[in-house]
Amino acid sequence: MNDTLTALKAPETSGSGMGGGSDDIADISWNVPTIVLRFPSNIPGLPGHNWANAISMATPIAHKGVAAGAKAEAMTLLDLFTNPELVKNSKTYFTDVQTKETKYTALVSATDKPAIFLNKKIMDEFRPQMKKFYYDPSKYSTYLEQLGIKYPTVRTPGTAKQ
Amino acid sequence: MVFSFGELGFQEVETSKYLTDILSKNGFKIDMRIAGIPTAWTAKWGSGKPVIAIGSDIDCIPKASQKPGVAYHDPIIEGAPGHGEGHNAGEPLNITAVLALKKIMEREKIPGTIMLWPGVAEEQLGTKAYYVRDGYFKDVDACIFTHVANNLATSYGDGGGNGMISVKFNFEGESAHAAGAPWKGRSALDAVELMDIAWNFHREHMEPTQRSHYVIPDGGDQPNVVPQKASVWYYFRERTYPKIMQMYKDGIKMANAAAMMTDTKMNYEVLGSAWPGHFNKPMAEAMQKNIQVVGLPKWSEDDQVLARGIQKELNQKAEG
Repeated sequence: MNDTLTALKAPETSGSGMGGGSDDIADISWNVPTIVLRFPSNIPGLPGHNWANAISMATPIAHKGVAAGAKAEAMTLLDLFTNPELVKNSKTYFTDVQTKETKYTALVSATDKPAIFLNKKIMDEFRPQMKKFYYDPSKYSTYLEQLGIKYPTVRTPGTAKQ
Repeated sequence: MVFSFGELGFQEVETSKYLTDILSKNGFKIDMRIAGIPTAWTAKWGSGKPVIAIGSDIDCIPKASQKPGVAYHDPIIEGAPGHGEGHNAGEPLNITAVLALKKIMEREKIPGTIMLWPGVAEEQLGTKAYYVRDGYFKDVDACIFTHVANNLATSYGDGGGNGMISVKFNFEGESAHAAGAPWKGRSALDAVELMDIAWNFHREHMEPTQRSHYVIPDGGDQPNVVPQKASVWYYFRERTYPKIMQMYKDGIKMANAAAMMTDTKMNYEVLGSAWPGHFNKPMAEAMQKNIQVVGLPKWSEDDQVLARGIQKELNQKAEG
Protein backbone atom coordinates (compact mmCIF):
# COMPACT_ATOMS: atom_id res chain seq x y z
CA MET A 1 0.00 0.00 0.00
CA ASN A 2 1.21 3.52 -0.74
CA ASP A 3 2.49 5.57 2.17
CA THR A 4 3.80 8.58 0.22
CA LEU A 5 1.72 11.23 -1.51
CA THR A 6 2.61 12.20 -5.07
CA ALA A 7 3.15 15.76 -6.31
CA LEU A 8 0.38 17.50 -8.24
CA LYS A 9 0.42 15.91 -11.68
CA ALA A 10 1.28 18.42 -14.41
CA PRO A 11 -0.13 18.23 -17.94
CA GLU A 12 1.20 16.08 -20.75
CA THR A 13 3.33 18.43 -22.81
CA SER A 14 1.65 18.92 -26.16
CA GLY A 15 2.11 16.12 -28.64
CA SER A 16 4.00 13.74 -26.39
CA GLY A 17 0.94 11.86 -25.12
CA MET A 18 0.67 8.50 -26.87
CA GLY A 19 -2.96 8.01 -26.01
CA GLY A 20 -4.60 5.27 -24.01
CA GLY A 21 -7.90 4.86 -22.23
CA SER A 22 -10.84 7.24 -22.20
CA ASP A 23 -13.24 8.57 -19.56
CA ASP A 24 -16.37 10.53 -20.34
CA ILE A 25 -15.79 12.85 -17.36
CA ALA A 26 -13.89 14.75 -20.05
CA ASP A 27 -17.20 15.80 -21.62
CA ILE A 28 -18.04 17.55 -18.36
CA SER A 29 -14.51 18.98 -18.09
CA TRP A 30 -14.79 20.72 -21.50
CA ASN A 31 -18.01 22.42 -20.37
CA VAL A 32 -17.38 23.23 -16.70
CA PRO A 33 -14.10 23.69 -14.77
CA THR A 34 -13.53 20.17 -13.45
CA ILE A 35 -11.00 18.10 -11.52
CA VAL A 36 -10.83 14.42 -10.65
CA LEU A 37 -9.85 13.50 -7.11
CA ARG A 38 -8.34 10.01 -7.02
CA PHE A 39 -8.62 8.32 -3.64
CA PRO A 40 -6.58 5.43 -2.23
CA SER A 41 -9.09 2.57 -1.87
CA ASN A 42 -7.26 0.13 -4.11
CA ILE A 43 -4.07 -1.91 -4.13
CA PRO A 44 -1.12 -0.88 -6.35
CA GLY A 45 0.01 -3.05 -9.25
CA LEU A 46 -3.31 -4.67 -10.23
CA PRO A 47 -4.58 -5.10 -13.82
CA GLY A 48 -7.73 -2.92 -13.65
CA HIS A 49 -11.13 -3.95 -15.01
CA ASN A 50 -10.57 -7.24 -13.22
CA TRP A 51 -11.83 -9.27 -10.26
CA ALA A 52 -8.54 -8.49 -8.48
CA ASN A 53 -9.49 -4.81 -8.30
CA ALA A 54 -12.65 -5.75 -6.38
CA ILE A 55 -10.74 -7.42 -3.53
CA SER A 56 -10.08 -4.28 -1.50
CA MET A 57 -13.36 -2.54 -2.31
CA ALA A 58 -15.42 -3.69 0.68
CA THR A 59 -12.59 -3.84 3.25
CA PRO A 60 -10.87 -1.47 5.70
CA ILE A 61 -8.57 -0.41 2.82
CA ALA A 62 -11.50 1.02 0.84
CA HIS A 63 -13.04 2.51 3.97
CA LYS A 64 -9.87 4.38 4.94
CA GLY A 65 -9.31 5.55 1.37
CA VAL A 66 -12.86 6.89 1.17
CA ALA A 67 -12.52 8.67 4.54
CA ALA A 68 -9.32 10.41 3.39
CA GLY A 69 -10.86 11.32 0.04
CA ALA A 70 -14.04 12.66 1.66
CA LYS A 71 -11.99 14.96 3.89
CA ALA A 72 -9.97 16.38 0.98
CA GLU A 73 -13.13 16.78 -1.09
CA ALA A 74 -15.16 18.47 1.68
CA MET A 75 -12.29 20.90 2.34
CA THR A 76 -12.01 21.80 -1.35
CA LEU A 77 -15.78 22.22 -1.67
CA LEU A 78 -15.69 24.56 1.30
CA ASP A 79 -12.91 26.50 -0.47
CA LEU A 80 -15.11 26.83 -3.56
CA PHE A 81 -18.17 27.98 -1.56
CA THR A 82 -16.28 30.48 0.60
CA ASN A 83 -13.65 31.81 -1.82
CA PRO A 84 -15.24 33.49 -4.88
CA GLU A 85 -11.72 34.21 -6.13
CA LEU A 86 -11.10 30.46 -6.59
CA VAL A 87 -14.29 30.03 -8.63
CA LYS A 88 -13.33 33.08 -10.70
CA ASN A 89 -9.76 31.85 -11.30
CA SER A 90 -11.05 28.42 -12.29
CA LYS A 91 -13.35 30.04 -14.82
CA THR A 92 -10.49 32.20 -16.13
CA TYR A 93 -8.28 29.14 -16.66
CA PHE A 94 -11.20 27.43 -18.41
CA THR A 95 -11.86 30.30 -20.83
CA ASP A 96 -8.35 31.75 -21.33
CA VAL A 97 -6.22 28.60 -21.31
CA GLN A 98 -8.18 25.36 -21.72
CA THR A 99 -10.78 26.46 -24.29
CA LYS A 100 -8.82 29.33 -25.86
CA GLU A 101 -8.12 27.35 -29.03
CA THR A 102 -9.97 24.05 -28.55
CA LYS A 103 -13.75 24.32 -28.59
CA TYR A 104 -16.01 21.50 -27.51
CA THR A 105 -18.29 19.84 -30.03
CA ALA A 106 -20.07 16.75 -28.78
CA LEU A 107 -19.09 13.47 -30.44
CA VAL A 108 -22.71 12.41 -30.16
CA SER A 109 -25.19 14.07 -32.50
CA ALA A 110 -28.43 15.83 -31.58
CA THR A 111 -30.37 12.67 -32.46
CA ASP A 112 -28.18 9.95 -30.89
CA LYS A 113 -29.80 8.38 -27.84
CA PRO A 114 -28.27 6.87 -24.67
CA ALA A 115 -27.87 3.09 -25.15
CA ILE A 116 -30.04 2.27 -22.15
CA PHE A 117 -30.73 -1.27 -23.40
CA LEU A 118 -27.11 -2.34 -22.83
CA ASN A 119 -26.42 -4.99 -20.16
CA LYS A 120 -30.10 -5.66 -19.46
CA LYS A 121 -29.90 -9.35 -20.40
CA ILE A 122 -26.83 -9.99 -18.24
CA MET A 123 -28.40 -8.31 -15.21
CA ASP A 124 -31.69 -10.16 -15.75
CA GLU A 125 -29.68 -13.40 -15.67
CA PHE A 126 -27.62 -12.67 -12.56
CA ARG A 127 -29.69 -10.30 -10.42
CA PRO A 128 -31.90 -13.01 -8.84
CA GLN A 129 -28.79 -14.85 -7.58
CA MET A 130 -27.04 -11.66 -6.54
CA LYS A 131 -30.02 -10.50 -4.45
CA LYS A 132 -29.23 -13.25 -1.93
CA PHE A 133 -25.90 -11.57 -1.29
CA TYR A 134 -27.05 -7.95 -0.94
CA TYR A 135 -25.55 -6.49 2.20
CA ASP A 136 -27.92 -6.46 5.17
CA PRO A 137 -26.60 -3.86 7.62
CA SER A 138 -29.42 -4.63 10.07
CA LYS A 139 -27.92 -8.05 10.73
CA TYR A 140 -24.19 -7.59 10.11
CA SER A 141 -21.79 -4.83 10.99
CA THR A 142 -19.68 -5.40 7.84
CA TYR A 143 -20.12 -7.13 4.51
CA LEU A 144 -17.06 -9.27 5.31
CA GLU A 145 -18.92 -10.55 8.37
CA GLN A 146 -22.04 -11.30 6.30
CA LEU A 147 -20.00 -13.36 3.81
CA GLY A 148 -18.11 -15.08 6.65
CA ILE A 149 -14.71 -13.89 5.40
CA LYS A 150 -11.77 -13.62 7.75
CA TYR A 151 -9.84 -10.44 6.92
CA PRO A 152 -7.41 -10.84 5.28
CA THR A 153 -7.63 -14.26 3.61
CA VAL A 154 -4.49 -15.18 1.69
CA ARG A 155 -3.25 -18.44 0.22
CA THR A 156 -1.42 -20.50 2.79
CA PRO A 157 2.22 -21.01 1.74
CA GLY A 158 2.67 -24.04 -0.47
CA THR A 159 -0.93 -24.12 -1.74
CA ALA A 160 -0.99 -24.42 -5.49
CA LYS A 161 -2.77 -21.75 -7.46
CA GLN A 162 -6.18 -22.72 -8.77
CA MET B 1 -23.77 -1.71 0.32
CA VAL B 2 -23.21 -0.60 -3.28
CA PHE B 3 -20.46 -3.22 -3.65
CA SER B 4 -23.03 -5.98 -3.11
CA PHE B 5 -25.41 -4.58 -5.77
CA GLY B 6 -22.77 -5.04 -8.51
CA GLU B 7 -24.80 -3.49 -11.33
CA LEU B 8 -23.61 -3.05 -14.91
CA GLY B 9 -23.92 0.17 -16.89
CA PHE B 10 -27.49 1.50 -17.43
CA GLN B 11 -28.84 -1.14 -15.01
CA GLU B 12 -27.84 0.61 -11.74
CA VAL B 13 -31.39 0.41 -10.34
CA GLU B 14 -30.69 -0.65 -6.73
CA THR B 15 -27.60 1.55 -6.50
CA SER B 16 -29.40 4.70 -7.62
CA LYS B 17 -32.36 3.98 -5.35
CA TYR B 18 -30.09 3.45 -2.33
CA LEU B 19 -28.03 6.60 -2.94
CA THR B 20 -30.97 8.90 -3.71
CA ASP B 21 -32.91 7.63 -0.67
CA ILE B 22 -30.03 8.74 1.58
CA LEU B 23 -29.81 12.13 -0.14
CA SER B 24 -33.58 12.62 -0.08
CA LYS B 25 -33.70 11.89 3.67
CA ASN B 26 -31.04 14.55 4.11
CA GLY B 27 -33.05 17.25 2.39
CA PHE B 28 -31.76 16.98 -1.17
CA LYS B 29 -34.22 17.47 -4.03
CA ILE B 30 -33.98 14.51 -6.40
CA ASP B 31 -34.65 14.52 -10.12
CA MET B 32 -34.78 10.99 -11.51
CA ARG B 33 -34.33 9.76 -15.08
CA ILE B 34 -32.35 12.76 -16.29
CA ALA B 35 -31.48 12.82 -20.02
CA GLY B 36 -33.99 9.98 -20.50
CA ILE B 37 -31.72 7.55 -18.64
CA PRO B 38 -33.68 5.46 -16.09
CA THR B 39 -30.83 5.18 -13.55
CA ALA B 40 -29.48 8.75 -13.86
CA TRP B 41 -30.37 11.55 -11.43
CA THR B 42 -29.38 14.83 -9.86
CA ALA B 43 -29.69 15.63 -6.15
CA LYS B 44 -29.66 19.32 -5.24
CA TRP B 45 -29.47 21.22 -2.00
CA GLY B 46 -29.02 24.91 -1.18
CA SER B 47 -29.70 27.99 -3.23
CA GLY B 48 -28.00 30.53 -5.43
CA LYS B 49 -24.43 30.73 -6.66
CA PRO B 50 -22.00 29.14 -6.92
CA VAL B 51 -23.43 25.85 -8.18
CA ILE B 52 -20.91 23.07 -7.58
CA ALA B 53 -21.43 19.61 -9.12
CA ILE B 54 -20.02 16.53 -7.42
CA GLY B 55 -19.99 13.20 -9.25
CA SER B 56 -18.64 9.68 -9.42
CA ASP B 57 -19.31 6.53 -11.43
CA ILE B 58 -21.60 3.78 -10.12
CA ASP B 59 -21.46 0.92 -12.64
CA CYS B 60 -19.40 -2.28 -12.47
CA ILE B 61 -17.47 -4.74 -14.63
CA PRO B 62 -18.74 -7.94 -16.31
CA LYS B 63 -17.57 -11.26 -14.79
CA ALA B 64 -15.67 -9.48 -11.99
CA SER B 65 -17.60 -11.00 -9.06
CA GLN B 66 -15.14 -11.46 -6.20
CA LYS B 67 -15.20 -11.98 -2.44
CA PRO B 68 -13.74 -8.92 -0.75
CA GLY B 69 -10.72 -9.41 1.49
CA VAL B 70 -9.66 -12.62 -0.27
CA ALA B 71 -6.31 -12.42 -2.09
CA TYR B 72 -7.06 -14.89 -4.88
CA HIS B 73 -9.82 -15.41 -7.43
CA ASP B 74 -12.90 -16.50 -5.47
CA PRO B 75 -16.14 -15.14 -6.96
CA ILE B 76 -19.25 -14.57 -4.86
CA ILE B 77 -21.18 -15.84 -7.91
CA GLU B 78 -19.27 -17.40 -10.81
CA GLY B 79 -19.57 -15.28 -13.94
CA ALA B 80 -21.57 -12.49 -12.31
CA PRO B 81 -20.71 -8.79 -12.60
CA GLY B 82 -18.67 -7.20 -9.81
CA HIS B 83 -16.97 -4.00 -8.73
CA GLY B 84 -13.66 -4.70 -10.47
CA GLU B 85 -13.06 -1.01 -10.92
CA GLY B 86 -14.13 0.15 -7.49
CA HIS B 87 -17.04 2.26 -8.74
CA ASN B 88 -18.86 1.29 -5.54
CA ALA B 89 -16.89 3.76 -3.40
CA GLY B 90 -17.00 7.14 -5.16
CA GLU B 91 -20.60 8.18 -4.48
CA PRO B 92 -20.45 7.08 -0.84
CA LEU B 93 -17.32 9.28 -0.57
CA ASN B 94 -19.17 12.21 -2.18
CA ILE B 95 -22.20 11.79 0.08
CA THR B 96 -19.98 11.67 3.17
CA ALA B 97 -18.27 14.89 2.07
CA VAL B 98 -21.43 16.82 1.16
CA LEU B 99 -23.33 15.87 4.32
CA ALA B 100 -20.46 17.28 6.38
CA LEU B 101 -20.31 20.32 4.10
CA LYS B 102 -24.07 20.90 4.31
CA LYS B 103 -23.88 21.09 8.13
CA ILE B 104 -21.17 23.74 7.91
CA MET B 105 -23.05 25.71 5.22
CA GLU B 106 -26.22 25.67 7.36
CA ARG B 107 -24.41 26.69 10.52
CA GLU B 108 -22.39 29.47 8.86
CA LYS B 109 -25.17 30.49 6.43
CA ILE B 110 -22.93 30.03 3.39
CA PRO B 111 -24.83 30.51 0.11
CA GLY B 112 -24.55 28.18 -2.85
CA THR B 113 -25.98 25.03 -4.43
CA ILE B 114 -24.65 21.48 -4.20
CA MET B 115 -25.55 19.15 -7.07
CA LEU B 116 -24.69 15.46 -6.81
CA TRP B 117 -24.88 13.28 -9.92
CA PRO B 118 -23.82 9.75 -10.90
CA GLY B 119 -21.66 8.54 -13.76
CA VAL B 120 -24.04 5.94 -15.16
CA ALA B 121 -22.54 3.37 -17.58
CA GLU B 122 -19.01 4.82 -17.47
CA GLU B 123 -17.68 1.49 -18.71
CA GLN B 124 -19.68 2.13 -21.89
CA LEU B 125 -18.80 5.87 -21.85
CA GLY B 126 -22.51 6.07 -22.13
CA THR B 127 -24.00 9.13 -20.44
CA LYS B 128 -21.93 12.21 -19.63
CA ALA B 129 -22.03 13.66 -23.16
CA TYR B 130 -25.84 13.37 -22.97
CA TYR B 131 -25.99 15.14 -19.58
CA VAL B 132 -24.08 18.01 -21.20
CA ARG B 133 -26.05 17.95 -24.45
CA ASP B 134 -29.34 18.03 -22.56
CA GLY B 135 -28.31 21.02 -20.42
CA TYR B 136 -27.84 19.52 -16.95
CA PHE B 137 -24.49 21.32 -16.48
CA LYS B 138 -25.57 24.63 -18.00
CA ASP B 139 -25.65 26.56 -14.72
CA VAL B 140 -22.83 24.69 -12.98
CA ASP B 141 -19.77 26.74 -11.98
CA ALA B 142 -17.36 23.93 -11.13
CA CYS B 143 -17.29 20.16 -10.81
CA ILE B 144 -15.36 17.77 -8.59
CA PHE B 145 -15.35 14.15 -9.66
CA THR B 146 -13.96 11.26 -7.61
CA HIS B 147 -12.42 8.00 -8.81
CA VAL B 148 -10.74 5.13 -7.01
CA ALA B 149 -6.95 4.73 -7.33
CA ASN B 150 -4.10 3.70 -5.07
CA ASN B 151 -3.07 7.17 -3.98
CA LEU B 152 -4.73 10.43 -2.95
CA ALA B 153 -4.02 12.66 -5.90
CA THR B 154 -5.27 15.03 -8.57
CA SER B 155 -4.00 16.57 -11.81
CA TYR B 156 -4.55 19.41 -14.26
CA GLY B 157 -4.23 20.09 -17.97
CA ASP B 158 -4.17 17.47 -20.70
CA GLY B 159 -4.34 14.03 -19.11
CA GLY B 160 -2.62 12.38 -22.09
CA GLY B 161 -5.41 9.87 -22.76
CA ASN B 162 -7.62 9.41 -25.79
CA GLY B 163 -11.15 10.45 -26.48
CA MET B 164 -13.35 8.01 -28.30
CA ILE B 165 -16.58 7.11 -29.98
CA SER B 166 -18.23 3.71 -29.56
CA VAL B 167 -20.16 2.56 -32.65
CA LYS B 168 -21.96 -0.68 -33.48
CA PHE B 169 -22.37 -1.56 -37.18
CA ASN B 170 -25.33 -3.83 -37.95
CA PHE B 171 -25.50 -5.77 -41.21
CA GLU B 172 -28.52 -7.53 -42.63
CA GLY B 173 -28.51 -10.05 -45.48
CA GLU B 174 -30.63 -13.09 -46.27
CA SER B 175 -30.47 -16.51 -44.64
CA ALA B 176 -30.30 -19.77 -46.56
CA HIS B 177 -29.32 -23.39 -46.00
CA ALA B 178 -25.53 -23.07 -45.96
CA ALA B 179 -25.03 -26.47 -47.63
CA GLY B 180 -28.28 -26.97 -49.54
CA ALA B 181 -28.67 -23.58 -51.22
CA PRO B 182 -25.88 -21.21 -50.15
CA TRP B 183 -26.23 -19.27 -53.43
CA LYS B 184 -29.60 -18.07 -52.20
CA GLY B 185 -28.09 -16.48 -49.10
CA ARG B 186 -26.33 -13.16 -48.46
CA SER B 187 -24.16 -13.33 -45.36
CA ALA B 188 -24.16 -10.48 -42.86
CA LEU B 189 -21.17 -12.15 -41.20
CA ASP B 190 -19.20 -11.85 -44.46
CA ALA B 191 -19.79 -8.10 -44.28
CA VAL B 192 -18.53 -7.99 -40.68
CA GLU B 193 -15.38 -9.93 -41.61
CA LEU B 194 -14.67 -7.77 -44.66
CA MET B 195 -15.08 -4.61 -42.62
CA ASP B 196 -12.69 -5.93 -39.97
CA ILE B 197 -10.11 -6.91 -42.59
CA ALA B 198 -10.32 -3.44 -44.14
CA TRP B 199 -9.91 -1.77 -40.76
CA ASN B 200 -6.94 -3.94 -39.84
CA PHE B 201 -5.18 -3.05 -43.13
CA HIS B 202 -6.00 0.60 -42.46
CA ARG B 203 -4.13 0.46 -39.14
CA GLU B 204 -0.77 0.66 -40.94
CA HIS B 205 -1.68 4.10 -42.20
CA MET B 206 -2.94 5.55 -38.95
CA GLU B 207 -1.01 7.64 -36.45
CA PRO B 208 0.46 5.77 -33.48
CA THR B 209 -1.81 7.64 -31.04
CA GLN B 210 -4.91 5.82 -32.30
CA ARG B 211 -6.31 2.85 -30.42
CA SER B 212 -9.15 0.90 -31.96
CA HIS B 213 -10.66 -2.44 -31.10
CA TYR B 214 -13.80 -4.41 -31.82
CA VAL B 215 -15.91 -7.37 -30.73
CA ILE B 216 -18.55 -9.26 -32.69
CA PRO B 217 -21.68 -9.28 -30.49
CA ASP B 218 -23.63 -11.15 -33.17
CA GLY B 219 -21.91 -13.44 -35.66
CA GLY B 220 -24.89 -15.57 -36.62
CA ASP B 221 -26.58 -18.54 -35.00
CA GLN B 222 -25.05 -21.76 -36.33
CA PRO B 223 -22.79 -22.71 -39.26
CA ASN B 224 -25.44 -24.35 -41.43
CA VAL B 225 -27.51 -21.16 -41.59
CA VAL B 226 -26.15 -18.27 -43.66
CA PRO B 227 -26.21 -15.45 -41.08
CA GLN B 228 -29.00 -13.06 -41.90
CA LYS B 229 -27.87 -10.64 -39.18
CA ALA B 230 -24.44 -9.84 -37.80
CA SER B 231 -22.91 -6.90 -35.99
CA VAL B 232 -19.50 -5.59 -35.03
CA TRP B 233 -18.87 -3.09 -32.23
CA TYR B 234 -15.92 -0.70 -32.51
CA TYR B 235 -14.22 1.74 -30.15
CA PHE B 236 -12.41 4.45 -32.15
CA ARG B 237 -9.90 6.31 -29.95
CA GLU B 238 -7.64 9.26 -30.70
CA ARG B 239 -6.11 12.30 -29.02
CA THR B 240 -8.31 15.03 -30.53
CA TYR B 241 -11.89 15.57 -31.65
CA PRO B 242 -11.06 15.93 -35.40
CA LYS B 243 -9.00 12.73 -35.36
CA ILE B 244 -11.73 10.77 -33.57
CA MET B 245 -14.30 12.03 -36.09
CA GLN B 246 -12.01 11.03 -38.96
CA MET B 247 -11.77 7.46 -37.59
CA TYR B 248 -15.55 7.39 -37.18
CA LYS B 249 -16.03 8.51 -40.82
CA ASP B 250 -13.46 5.95 -42.05
CA GLY B 251 -15.33 3.25 -40.13
CA ILE B 252 -18.66 4.20 -41.72
CA LYS B 253 -17.02 4.22 -45.16
CA MET B 254 -15.62 0.70 -44.68
CA ALA B 255 -18.93 -0.57 -43.31
CA ASN B 256 -20.72 0.81 -46.39
CA ALA B 257 -18.12 -0.77 -48.65
CA ALA B 258 -18.45 -4.13 -46.87
CA ALA B 259 -22.24 -3.95 -47.29
CA MET B 260 -21.80 -3.19 -50.98
CA MET B 261 -19.41 -6.12 -51.45
CA THR B 262 -21.79 -8.56 -49.81
CA ASP B 263 -25.07 -7.11 -51.05
CA THR B 264 -26.25 -6.61 -47.49
CA LYS B 265 -27.78 -3.60 -45.74
CA MET B 266 -25.92 -1.67 -43.05
CA ASN B 267 -26.93 0.70 -40.28
CA TYR B 268 -24.91 1.94 -37.32
CA GLU B 269 -25.62 3.24 -33.83
CA VAL B 270 -23.53 5.27 -31.40
CA LEU B 271 -23.27 3.47 -28.03
CA GLY B 272 -21.01 5.92 -26.21
CA SER B 273 -18.42 8.66 -26.48
CA ALA B 274 -15.80 10.61 -24.56
CA TRP B 275 -13.59 13.60 -25.18
CA PRO B 276 -9.90 13.48 -24.25
CA GLY B 277 -9.49 14.71 -20.66
CA HIS B 278 -8.38 18.20 -19.63
CA PHE B 279 -8.62 19.35 -16.02
CA ASN B 280 -8.64 22.67 -14.20
CA LYS B 281 -5.44 24.11 -12.75
CA PRO B 282 -6.63 26.47 -9.98
CA MET B 283 -9.01 23.81 -8.64
CA ALA B 284 -6.30 21.14 -8.78
CA GLU B 285 -3.93 23.39 -6.85
CA ALA B 286 -6.57 24.05 -4.19
CA MET B 287 -7.26 20.31 -3.93
CA GLN B 288 -3.54 19.48 -3.71
CA LYS B 289 -3.17 21.79 -0.66
CA ASN B 290 -5.98 19.92 1.07
CA ILE B 291 -4.53 16.54 0.05
CA GLN B 292 -1.26 17.54 1.77
CA VAL B 293 -3.19 18.41 4.95
CA VAL B 294 -5.20 15.16 4.98
CA GLY B 295 -2.34 12.82 4.00
CA LEU B 296 -2.63 9.11 3.36
CA PRO B 297 -4.40 6.68 5.69
CA LYS B 298 -2.38 4.52 8.08
CA TRP B 299 -2.50 1.02 6.63
CA SER B 300 -2.70 -1.82 9.16
CA GLU B 301 -0.66 -5.01 9.04
CA ASP B 302 -3.82 -6.81 7.81
CA ASP B 303 -4.18 -4.33 4.93
CA GLN B 304 -0.56 -4.92 3.93
CA VAL B 305 -0.96 -8.71 4.12
CA LEU B 306 -3.95 -8.54 1.73
CA ALA B 307 -2.08 -6.24 -0.68
CA ARG B 308 1.09 -8.37 -0.68
CA GLY B 309 -1.05 -11.49 -1.05
CA ILE B 310 -2.78 -10.39 -4.26
CA GLN B 311 0.39 -8.84 -5.70
CA LYS B 312 2.14 -12.18 -5.19
CA GLU B 313 -0.85 -14.08 -6.62
CA LEU B 314 -0.64 -12.05 -9.83
CA ASN B 315 3.18 -12.19 -9.96
CA GLN B 316 3.41 -8.46 -9.44
CA LYS B 317 6.29 -6.98 -7.52
CA ALA B 318 5.30 -5.98 -4.01
CA GLU B 319 4.79 -2.24 -4.33
CA GLY B 320 3.43 0.60 -2.31
